Amino acid sequence: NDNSETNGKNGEATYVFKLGHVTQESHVWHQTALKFGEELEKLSNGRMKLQIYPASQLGQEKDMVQQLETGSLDFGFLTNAYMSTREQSLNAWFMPFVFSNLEEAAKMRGSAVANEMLKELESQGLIGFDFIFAGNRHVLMKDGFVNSPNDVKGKKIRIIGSPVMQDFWKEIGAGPTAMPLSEVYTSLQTGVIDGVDIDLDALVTEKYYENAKYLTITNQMTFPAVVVMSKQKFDSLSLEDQEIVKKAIQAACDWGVNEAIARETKNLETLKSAGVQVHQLEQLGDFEKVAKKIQEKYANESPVIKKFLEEALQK
Amino acid sequence: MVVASLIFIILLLLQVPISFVLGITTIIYILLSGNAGLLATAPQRLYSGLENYGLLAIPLFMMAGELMNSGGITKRLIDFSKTLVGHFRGGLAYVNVISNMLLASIIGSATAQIAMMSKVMVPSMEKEGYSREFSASTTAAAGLLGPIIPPSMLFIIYGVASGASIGDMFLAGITPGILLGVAFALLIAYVGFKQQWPTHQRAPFVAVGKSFFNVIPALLVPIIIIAGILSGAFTPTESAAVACVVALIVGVMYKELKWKHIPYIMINTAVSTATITMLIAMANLFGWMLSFEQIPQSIATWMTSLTDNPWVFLFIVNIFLLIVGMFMDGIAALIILVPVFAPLLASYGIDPIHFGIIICINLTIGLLTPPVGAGLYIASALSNVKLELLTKAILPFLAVSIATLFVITYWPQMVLWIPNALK
Amino acid sequence: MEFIHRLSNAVYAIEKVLAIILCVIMLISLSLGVVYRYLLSSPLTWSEEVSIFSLVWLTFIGGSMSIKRKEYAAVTIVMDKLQDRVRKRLLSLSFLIVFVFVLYIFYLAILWVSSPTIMLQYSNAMRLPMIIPYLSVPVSFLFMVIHSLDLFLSQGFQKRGEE
Ligand code: NA
Ligand code: NA
Repeated sequence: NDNSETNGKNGEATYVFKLGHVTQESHVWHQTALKFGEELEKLSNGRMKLQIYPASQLGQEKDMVQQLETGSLDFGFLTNAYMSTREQSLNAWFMPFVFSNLEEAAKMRGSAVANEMLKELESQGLIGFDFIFAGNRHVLMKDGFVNSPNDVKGKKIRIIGSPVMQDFWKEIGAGPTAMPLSEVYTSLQTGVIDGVDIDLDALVTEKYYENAKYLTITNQMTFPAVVVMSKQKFDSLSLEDQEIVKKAIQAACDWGVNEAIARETKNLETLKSAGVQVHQLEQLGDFEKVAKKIQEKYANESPVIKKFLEEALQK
Repeated sequence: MVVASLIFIILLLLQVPISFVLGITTIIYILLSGNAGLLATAPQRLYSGLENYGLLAIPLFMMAGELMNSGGITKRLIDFSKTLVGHFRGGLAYVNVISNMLLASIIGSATAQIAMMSKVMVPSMEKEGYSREFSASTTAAAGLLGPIIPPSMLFIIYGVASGASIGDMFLAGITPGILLGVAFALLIAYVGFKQQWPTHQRAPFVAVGKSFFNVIPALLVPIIIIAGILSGAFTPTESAAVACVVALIVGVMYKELKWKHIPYIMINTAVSTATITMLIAMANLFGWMLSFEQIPQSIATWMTSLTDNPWVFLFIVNIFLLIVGMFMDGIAALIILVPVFAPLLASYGIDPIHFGIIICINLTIGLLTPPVGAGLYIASALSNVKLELLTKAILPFLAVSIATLFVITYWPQMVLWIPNALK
Repeated sequence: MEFIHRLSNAVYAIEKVLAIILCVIMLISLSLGVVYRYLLSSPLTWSEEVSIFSLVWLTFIGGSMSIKRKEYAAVTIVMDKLQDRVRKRLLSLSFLIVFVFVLYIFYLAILWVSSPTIMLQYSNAMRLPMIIPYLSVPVSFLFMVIHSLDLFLSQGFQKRGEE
């Protein structure tokens, strides 16, 4: 069968694990996956290898989750945007204006409350190990910077179709527009949309700045991925092998998160040298009210989110 | 792999629907390879292959086509082309090409267009003394313009599969589409001159004016679509819905579209959409199996090992695709092959938009190549010409199309100048 | 056999109604999406999902209808060249193959929609339970099972010239 289990020379199990994710090979998540593969090989003395399927090669995230459940896929880096539709408490990461930069968001990764979210995934046949990040989300507009909700009132902003992002932009008074990635570039050009809610890495790769050049560094949200393993597969490993997997993931994620933070600065430099006008949102002003309202709404819905907010805002 | 290929061929020849052939082959392959665990996820994969915004254009273009036929729009486009070029030697053959170009600026699918035009053009050409094979082959060939002149279903599917901008693909299709139309016209001029077709009286000025007046509402459809896309009112995908609404209004204005037509239009739309989207769903299942086995990667590695030169690479790809196009449906092939080629383009320095146009035109040509050619079947069935005769009659058109394909392949600027100029 | 034929006709009647409804929903939701975003500057959050879910349903329902109407893309060159009797035999074999395939997918789809995590899944924008679009697969494949069984059974009783 599935080439992930054959017997090695000394009777020790050898594995070729499969990992799927949705990003391109240049993305920090793919780099993290490569790192994970290296660590696995090193820590297991070559008994464990990793085969990576980037760019949704195995299907959408809902497909990957099913493949993880049934054990035909072993690991997944799944966006928090998708996973939060299956596990409400993950919306905590999308609470607006909680982190003023990516480091602050990354600090919450090891917290007890973050682990609580991961634990809840077990009921779906998944072992949640960790969170990695793509970068914080900012706003790119065609016609000026964003200093207050007034600057985006009535403007059409492309968002990822997540409920929190929808609520947030609606509350601000903008028109949140969901549209597939492949239509965003032209839509910005022709004016179907006036701006995008985006992370810097995607902005550099997709070159949207060719059609809209006002970037406001708002840090309104962070954008993590959940690192998961098929529970079925994890349970089938020996205790020692489980430890190896955990250690390899830990090392890869530590590296990946630092790399993401470093890329945040590097990407900003790239954008500036490409002629993008960059402005830092200094005062939250009226955004604060909107943020509080959304935070309260979601905190009321989930005690985990409430705890997350208390802990994150304390810092 | 060998067993799966054999089963694939046997099922095809047994007249099993092509979409099911893909599905059955996938399942048998999975069973043979011992990954039975994968089967549990097959229905989900079938489902989510369709959960794709870009694919919405397919039913809507189909619907627009049905509405335009029932609403008298197609007929008026043909009348208008007739008053323009009907008096030349081989007039109706040009009318066929020009009507198809006009239609192509509204419709995004070659098969839809061939079906629409076969019903209207072939009988009228035959009445004027053209052989039925020639009429049917002209119609089928001119129908190829459908997905090349924007809007285009194939371009949308390429954009979705490769991540390339659909808007740029649309713009890039304009010159190749016109070039292909002109190439067909030249072929008709040559054949007409050789066979000494008769010429006709030029339409009187009053008639030109009248038919122009009549066609204005019909011409509104492409104008509204293009203006709407360029002004940011809607996206290319949404333009298909707008086309339906405008076609509906124009059909009512012409007093030809009746309430009682609507249910039939919708039912036909459902069935003709499903023949394509079912194929996409099953091709997704098939492609997913290929990805799991990492087969695209091995083909790609092999292809790149053949040459470092982008021009040689494009030549090999073109030959390869022409062969694939003989045996496979264009959309299914596009969905399976784009993920194979897309990652290679950067290392050869090939522009993804240019490549997209090449692969789409190439696979569109495949609609007219035997043994598997949907366009050929549709034209043969609707105009009642034996497949063998039609295949023979279409050879000159195929030769012209392939020559145009190579011009487009080796002259990237011709494809890219419009999208680049508008950046 | 007569029962299966009548059942298949009844299913087809339902499919026709569904097809009309789905086409109308798709057209209206996409058009309203344009109107609300462009003219009223307040984009609808549901229009994209509604149209996509209709497309999925339309595909599978339409796919089933195309079996009933025998209007699918298939290669006919070889079968057309065969003697009538041989051709009919092979054609009924072909319907049998289709029947077995759609029955198997129907079975897999039932397992799929009854798996425990299905009810945890909601759509992104509308928070619609995903079971609603997912059901398109088992329902339509059940319809296909009925149509293909009917075609297989009736193949032997066809008059000449019919196909
Ligand atoms: Na077109
Ligand atoms: Na062909």
